[in-house]
Amino acid sequence: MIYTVPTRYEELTLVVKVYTNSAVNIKLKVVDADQPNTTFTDRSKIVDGESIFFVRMPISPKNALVYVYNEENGNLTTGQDNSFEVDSISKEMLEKKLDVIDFGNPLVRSFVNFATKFSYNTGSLTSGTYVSDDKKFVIKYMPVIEDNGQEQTTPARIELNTGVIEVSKKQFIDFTVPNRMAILLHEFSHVYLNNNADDEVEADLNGLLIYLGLGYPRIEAFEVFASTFMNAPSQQNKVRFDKIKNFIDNFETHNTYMFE
Amino acid sequence: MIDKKLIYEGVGALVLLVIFNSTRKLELKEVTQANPSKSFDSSSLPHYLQPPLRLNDGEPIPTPVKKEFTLNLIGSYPRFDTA
Repeated sequence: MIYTVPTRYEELTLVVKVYTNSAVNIKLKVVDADQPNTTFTDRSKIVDGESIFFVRMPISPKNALVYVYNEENGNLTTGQDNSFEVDSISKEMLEKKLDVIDFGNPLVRSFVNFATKFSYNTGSLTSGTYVSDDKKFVIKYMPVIEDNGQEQTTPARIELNTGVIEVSKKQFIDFTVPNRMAILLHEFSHVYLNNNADDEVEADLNGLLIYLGLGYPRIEAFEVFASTFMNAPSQQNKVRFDKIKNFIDNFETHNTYMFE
Repeated sequence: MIDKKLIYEGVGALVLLVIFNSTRKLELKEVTQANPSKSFDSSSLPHYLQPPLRLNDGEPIPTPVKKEFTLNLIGSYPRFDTA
């Protein structure tokens, strides 16, 4: 089933209430009705009885399409699939924690604006070099990221000396908008927030602090880091994933902070 | 002197207004097929969602900014234990 929702570029939380008579794997996808390759969430969950999906949307399109369907049966219309029922879709206020973000730092403000524009429009951008409005940041949007002709598995990387970010179109095009934000904020953190520019975990956490503070969905952050780490399994990445999980789990209670 | 009842009614109305505005149940409008062939016009997007500036091919890349020193970077702002 596909529903249209007038989101009017608002920041909001979409609340989708679903009923099932038995355990059903429900797929939920929210996409831009107009811009191609622009997805705001793509998740699934086993629902047995009643369940509510919360989709945090710090940015939203003019109109969103909400796909809800039983993964086993595929996307059918009402009446064709009686294994579940969409009870309601509603809009709620988005909860943010902007106080955790250092917006006093002009670089953070500038990069968040740039990353938002880039992430929302990735689906229709051509390959090339993009710059922020104040020209302080540069993203090279490349078909793939290569080293000596060898395609790399990373979706993005930053040149530590210059601050130029390279993004793989091949990988970014399939990412959700929140996935893209999480990756770009990670790269930004390496050079502009980290004490140690080489430290991956520090970049993960500094980037996540901004991402979560802006109100982006937790599940999308897990997803993108998990998929990136699966492309490069290593002990270091396992440690990183555990720290990310712990950080996100504790974000609401502020338990992750440590004051030096 | 202001009638207390009037104040209670006003506060009650305000609370109801906040609750009503914070959750807006939508009328379910189902569509059978999305229209992916529709061309997308980014000029109607709000400023903060407009596509970023693309440099012309061959145009020199501006030098990205260096990390700026702020008081927050010397410890007055929460940092992370990454040990």
